[in-house]
Formats: sequence, structure tokens, C-alpha cells
Amino acid sequence: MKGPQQWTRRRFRAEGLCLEKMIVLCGSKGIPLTKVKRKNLKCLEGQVSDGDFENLCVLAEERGWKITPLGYVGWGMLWEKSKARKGLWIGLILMMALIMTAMQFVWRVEIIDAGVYEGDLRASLIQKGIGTGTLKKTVDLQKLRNELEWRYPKVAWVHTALRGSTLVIRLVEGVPSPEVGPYGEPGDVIAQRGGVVISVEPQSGTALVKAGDIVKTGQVLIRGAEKRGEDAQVHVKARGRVLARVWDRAIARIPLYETVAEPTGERTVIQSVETPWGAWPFGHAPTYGAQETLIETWPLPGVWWPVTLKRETISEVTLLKVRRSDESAEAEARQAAMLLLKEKTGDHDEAVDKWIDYCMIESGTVVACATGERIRDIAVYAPSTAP
Amino acid sequence: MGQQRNMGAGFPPEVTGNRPRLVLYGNEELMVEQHRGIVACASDRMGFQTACGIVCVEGDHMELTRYGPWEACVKGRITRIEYQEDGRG
Repeated sequence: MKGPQQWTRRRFRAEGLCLEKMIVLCGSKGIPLTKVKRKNLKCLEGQVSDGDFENLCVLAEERGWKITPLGYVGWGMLWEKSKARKGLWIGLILMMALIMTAMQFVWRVEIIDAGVYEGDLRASLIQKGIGTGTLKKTVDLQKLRNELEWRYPKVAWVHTALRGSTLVIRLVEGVPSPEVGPYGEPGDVIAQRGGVVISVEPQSGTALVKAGDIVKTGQVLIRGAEKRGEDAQVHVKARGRVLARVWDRAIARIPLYETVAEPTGERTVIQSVETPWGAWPFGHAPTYGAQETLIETWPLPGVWWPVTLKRETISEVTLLKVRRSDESAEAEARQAAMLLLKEKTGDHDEAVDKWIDYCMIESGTVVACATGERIRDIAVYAPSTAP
Repeated sequence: MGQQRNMGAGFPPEVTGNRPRLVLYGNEELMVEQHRGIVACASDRMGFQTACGIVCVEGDHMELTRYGPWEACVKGRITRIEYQEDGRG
């Protein structure tokens, strides 16, 4: 196995007569030479491993050749140049120590799929003292997971993990199982919502509506009773599928007047250095009646080290109430109404048709009403109330 | 006789014999195996003692990139390779 000296190579210059003999002798003594280049009749230069250099010198001395060391090459040269620089090594050791120390802390909290709970979850973590700068070993992931699962009962489970210096919290929301009525218990199928019936497919029970009928919410669609024989009637659990055209509406109100901030020209810039342990601002916040603040942050070189430079540009503004154009207000109202409709109906049902109606009311508001027509199964089981 | 014995044993002669083996990569690199030493080392001319005589390599900017007891490697612009009688038979 080669030692470190075998990996370090040294350049040398050999001077004397019949240097070819020296090369042959080196070969026979097991001193491998590389990059041998003849400079002139009495001189050649080459490389030899650091471990063999002494042997080469001894051999050359015995035979009358002169060996002059010319320095190290490759990693050896780097090592020779850097080993005398104590400051460099101290800096490297300090940097490694700092990295190792910094790796013991949480520098980032990543919350995934928390939805509406995200704000509450962040507040809860702050309350528990978990955040940027928390020592990793003080974070009990199991305990945190249990506490969050109790805190958010609608969440199926919570996944907590430390990935490097990031605390990852993932909430997985549960999908409620469909309500299933007691099997075999007599009952009707009623309309979950109003609509125009397209088709009725009763699997058990007696259909009370037909295609084209207008039905209201709660109306019985399939009665939980079947005729057996001429007069006999038995109560059954009604089941079936009733497809109907249904309509959903969503209304959005957008004001025609909007408040615009007009800069007065007065401006104050405050710079600060922010770390997980505190912030050091250079300057005082102004006392403007109304103001706009532009915040810019830059991480300090070193990339992952959580120290940032922050610049706040605070501009004094006058608030003005201006009337928007009808077109832009209508466009915004339309967009908002369609978004509300999409949230209401979801993406899983195919819309047959969609349209929007507008109106402008006296208080300076544009109202957009988005209507979507869909086809869906409106049948839902309801236990029979009949004796 | 020895060579015939080796061939009879199924080994190729370049493995068991003492004849030199020269591998030339383009005109830039020459590998000499089973040499018996170097007799000339210059940037335009190199010579290796072998069982078949002296292998003389001519070219420009040549250097001995590796030298060991059994093989050597020459790099540079190689223009000519020839055998010369070494006078020792």
C-alpha cells in the first residue's frame, strides 16, 4: 500500500555524465521516474515520488551525479505551500467548527400542505419556542407531532422531520368517509339539491320522478317501497342514481372607487443587520401620517449563514380616492366571481355552461354574478320517516 | 527451443519470452515493454536496449514519461522507430 509520500511527487534536476545509466539504475533499484526530459548533454529533469527522492539522492551520490531538488508538484506542491500558513489552517478549522456548530441548529421551518392552518401553526411553533435558531436536539419531533395532531383534529396525520438544518412539518388532511346508511333499513332517496332531472336509475325502490321533472331540495326521488303481488307492499332501502342539471351561483362585489397612495417626495431609508438573535437598525423610523415601505433583503456572503442585510425605504404618501374605469372593475369582478364559482363547485364536475351577469349598484360597487350549469347525481339516502 | 516450448504450453511468446513489445499510439506516445535499459535519452532521440537490438526512437520534444525496470513510455512527436544492431549479437 502506498503511503502519503508516494502520492507526493518532487521535481529534480540531475547533472553529470551518462545520465542514461542513472535512469537504468533507478529502474533496476525500483525507483520509478516520470516526466524525464533531457535539457542538454549533461543535464536532465524529471519527477520522482517523495518517498524515493532520498534513495535517488543516495544512488546519485554514489555514482557521482548531482541531484538538485526543484520543488513539489500537484498536491504535494499545494501541501508544501500551505503547511507553513498557520492562519489558513486556523481559519479552516474555525470555519469547520462554525459549520459543525451551525448544523446543530434549526435555520429554517418549512410547513407543507398546512392550508388555512399555516398561520396558526407558525404562531403555535413560536409559542413553543421552536423556530430559527432553536437547538436541534431540543426539538422533540414525536412530541411535536402528537401535539399538532391534537391541535388540528381534521388533519389525518402530521409528519415532522429534520432535514439538515430545516424543520419540515407536513400536514396531511383526512378525507371524510361517505356517510353510509344502515344496510337494509327502509328509507328513501331524496334530492340533495334542486334541479331538472335528466335520468333516473332506481336500483331498489320506486321512482317518483322522471326525466324533465323539476325537483326541489329534499324532494323524494325514489320511494323506499316496492310492490310484491297485487296489494302487498314492502318497505326497502331505496337506492339509485338520479342525474340532474343543477346551477351554482357565485357573487363578487368590487368597489368602483379605490384608494391610491400618492408619494409626497419625503423618504427615509433605514438599513439594518438581521440575525436570528436580533436586529440592529441604523436609523430611526419616521412619523409620517401615511407611508409606504419597500423592504429589500440580501443574505450576507457565506450563503447559508442566516445573517441578512435589510433596507427599508419608507416613503410618505397621500391617500387619494379615485374612480376606476368600468371596464377594469367589471373585469376584476368577473375574475373574482369565476374564481368563487370554481371554489364552490370544484374542478371534479364538468360544467355544461357558464355565464356572468353584471350590475352596478348606487353605492359605487360592481356586482358580478357567475352562474355555472352542471350535471350531477343529486340522489342521497334519507331514512324513512313514514311509519 | 525455449520459445517453442512456451508456444507448446499455450502461452503467447510476448508473455513468456524476452522479446520487446512496442505499442505506438498515433505519433505521440510509444510504450516499450521488456526492454533492458535506456541507452540514449534526449529530446530528439531515445534508445532502448532490447533482446532484439537497440530500439531507436526519433522525434521532437520527446520526454520519458515513465521508466521502470520492464517498461518505459515516451511522449512527444515521434517521427521514426528503428532497430539497430547493438554489436553484442
